[in-house]
Amino acid sequence: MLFRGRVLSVAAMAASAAIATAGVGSGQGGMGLVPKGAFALPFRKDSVEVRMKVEAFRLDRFPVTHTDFKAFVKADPDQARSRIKRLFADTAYLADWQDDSTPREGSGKAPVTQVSWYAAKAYCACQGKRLPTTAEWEWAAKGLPPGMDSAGLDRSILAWYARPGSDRFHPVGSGSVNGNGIRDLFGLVWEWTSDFDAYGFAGLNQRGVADSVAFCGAGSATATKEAEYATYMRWAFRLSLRPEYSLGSLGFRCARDLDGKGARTRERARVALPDSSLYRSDARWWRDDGRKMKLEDLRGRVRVVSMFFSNCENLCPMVLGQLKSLEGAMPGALRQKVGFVMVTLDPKEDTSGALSAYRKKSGLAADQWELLRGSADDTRELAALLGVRYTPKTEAGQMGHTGLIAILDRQGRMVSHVTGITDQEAFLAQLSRAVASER
Amino acid sequence: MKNERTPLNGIRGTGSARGLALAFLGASLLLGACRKSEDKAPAAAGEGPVVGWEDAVLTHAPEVPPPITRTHPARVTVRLEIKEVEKELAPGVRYMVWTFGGSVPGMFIRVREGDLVDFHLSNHPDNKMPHNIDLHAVTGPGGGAAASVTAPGHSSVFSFKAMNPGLYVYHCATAPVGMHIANGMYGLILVQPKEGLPKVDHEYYVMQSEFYTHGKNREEGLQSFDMEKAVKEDADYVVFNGAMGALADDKALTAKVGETVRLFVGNGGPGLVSSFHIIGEVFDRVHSWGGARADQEQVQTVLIPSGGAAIVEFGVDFPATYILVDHSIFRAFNKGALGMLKVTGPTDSSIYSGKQRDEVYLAEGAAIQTLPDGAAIKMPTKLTQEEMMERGARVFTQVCAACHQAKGEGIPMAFPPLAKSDFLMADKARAIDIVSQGKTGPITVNGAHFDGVMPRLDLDDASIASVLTYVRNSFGNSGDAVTIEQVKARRR
Repeated sequence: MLFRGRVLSVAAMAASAAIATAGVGSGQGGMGLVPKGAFALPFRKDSVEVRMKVEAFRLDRFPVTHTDFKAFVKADPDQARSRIKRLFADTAYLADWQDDSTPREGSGKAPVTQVSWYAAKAYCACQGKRLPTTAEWEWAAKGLPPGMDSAGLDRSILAWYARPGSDRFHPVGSGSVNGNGIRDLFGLVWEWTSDFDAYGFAGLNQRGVADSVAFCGAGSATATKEAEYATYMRWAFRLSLRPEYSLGSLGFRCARDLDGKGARTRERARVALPDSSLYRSDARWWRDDGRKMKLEDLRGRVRVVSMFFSNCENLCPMVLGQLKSLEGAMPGALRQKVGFVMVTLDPKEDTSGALSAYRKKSGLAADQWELLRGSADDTRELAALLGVRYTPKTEAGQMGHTGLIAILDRQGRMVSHVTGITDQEAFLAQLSRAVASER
Repeated sequence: MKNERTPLNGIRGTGSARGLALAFLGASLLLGACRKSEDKAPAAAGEGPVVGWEDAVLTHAPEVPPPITRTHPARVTVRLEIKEVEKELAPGVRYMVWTFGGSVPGMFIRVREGDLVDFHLSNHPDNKMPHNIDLHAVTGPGGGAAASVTAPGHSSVFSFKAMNPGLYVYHCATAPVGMHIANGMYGLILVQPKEGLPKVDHEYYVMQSEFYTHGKNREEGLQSFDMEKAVKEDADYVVFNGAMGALADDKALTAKVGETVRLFVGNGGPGLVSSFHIIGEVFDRVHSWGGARADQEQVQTVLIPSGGAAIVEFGVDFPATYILVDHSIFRAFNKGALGMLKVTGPTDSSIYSGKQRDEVYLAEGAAIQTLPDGAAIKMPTKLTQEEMMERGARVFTQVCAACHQAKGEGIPMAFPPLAKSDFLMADKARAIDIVSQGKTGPITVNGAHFDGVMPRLDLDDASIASVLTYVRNSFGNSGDAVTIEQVKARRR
């Protein structure tokens, strides 16, 4: 999919258009307040119970409906079924709509489904919101409906699984009401979270393969809430997802920090890019010298990309060592046409100053290495595009992540990705081929 | 089918699959190898390279894919679609089952030892759940589970070498795994030994499993999975092939006298171990635990663990309906673990005579349970005629009516009548003796000849007196009462 290099016509790429889409399709029910709190994950990690802290936040009372999403697509036609790029949504995207702008007959008030994570994220960004984190969603879901104990809730969820999949066509508001005034968390559809893939894989599993302990029969080895079947089903469900998936039973709602700022202005790419270019992402990034940039600014050179964080104790130093060794082994001609990009997974800690210190400490030449940081959401998106998975940060400041090293061609298309450079010569050969390619 | 070969089958697949395989491999050497098998006996079966590419034949229970007659390993594509569908678990009881292939149990997969299997697992877009598959025949992480987590509307592909011959369970292993299994996600895969299995006339697929429903047993309507019952392993339904009656009556397995039958029997669980038995049959050969070779002969009941299987083979020699049960017998009669094998054909009385005589063994004990020694039950010593008639009627219904019939009419040739009975009314003392001591041998009642057995009835004196008084004054009879004293006197 990533290699399908159809170049979009320049005409289709309106130059430098800023779309102000704030408030479009903001839904009917407004947002409910979810108080701060903490809870234990239903599975141990490295034999230790994992407690998640959640700050108070606001969450849409209802899932986003077809009508809401229709307004969004109207404001941002790039999200329409016929326009969205395969990079951001698979072929099931809005497949039950009659056309680009018309939801299925009679489904306007039902939760929108068959939307990819990218599209859901873009929708929320449009509202000046974001997708809730998995921890936030799970915490909100613990607000029990009035008069129901947790076993009763579990039973009602299991009953949902026992019903045919047509629930998704019921209007929002017909599912459960929760103690926080949030509706339909259960009973209609599954919901995307911003970090749906952040759990359930071994932190240092370099291959990024979902860790079997989280979803197999062997899961009982790490389970801590053996009686909460419905909970495990949600975690297992999220583990089966990829961000471009557009499933019939999967919708979403948006969240916002209590001090959430106003709507963000999205910017389209200023240049023509192939459909499968990762540089199509509208995320904004900052270099370690504080300068703002967009991924499309990386065009022109073949890029070796990896994600890291400066306090990383295990994997990142190893990956960095491999990359520096690679740099040293590159002939001068190749070195001029190849650049390294390191993007932090921990933008909170890795300020421009921290990244700058990291550059100095690691001896990374300014003309060869880009060190980037972005918002938490945009970091998640780039990771999704690259296929990097990472866990939330532990109290010790560590996070598990996949040590993926990707090669992007001059247009930002991923031509290769490896988990650790085990064969430097082969990797150099790939780089040479990417450089030689005129695409 | 031991050592039998139909050489052309060696490269038979679907036409397009074969063409694809050849195009894909593009190796004339391999094509040559295929052809070789047509005119030359191959080296030891199962050895040599993987040759040819074909689609596996999958079947719904109780059908089994035909034996594989290839004499070499092949590359085999298995396509299995997961569907969450509403099915009837018992009359009026519906359940949302999660299935491998649209029914419970999942489709039967048959490959050959040494085959390279490309497994395509698809999760139907209308499904709610992610699923995967753990095939016990697979050597590798999770038996394939780690490679096959699949969201609704997606497919996963992985490959494995079928290295270990035998009969294996496969099941979904997505969390919470017990629930996925409890909802119907299991089936059998046979890795046929390279030498094949002996030829039989019928092969059938039978899989036991249990269901835990929110409502109680037989409660109608759409039932959902009950986690608490499942954790307690307190099943509401224990069934063969996914539903009560799935192998009964018009859906029974069939065979003809003189034929041989092989059953591939699995147990999906999720919790219970099966004591698989066929009432009236003996398994001639058994592959215990589903192993590659028959290791037992003449077995009555095979233990099939949850997540395990067995292969049983037997000839059917006598026409009858044989009942498949889990011999943990309450499961059969109360929870549904009951199937049928209907065998038709001529009877052979040298094997089984059928009922020649209706006889009762006159044991030292009694037909009616004896009260434990020392049971202090107070017997009445005197009863009015009315009390005797009332008590007598009760005793008659409980004890006598089964043979002599409700109106004392008896059954010709078997049980003599009590109604208008000359034999009964002729001799009061003889009547007391027969009831208290039993009676064997020929008698004539109302001109009809009987030669049967009446068991000694362990009734107290008052009951014998009452029931005799009752029959002597019912069904067209009219006579005097039989007193407790008279009974007592005859029994001394």
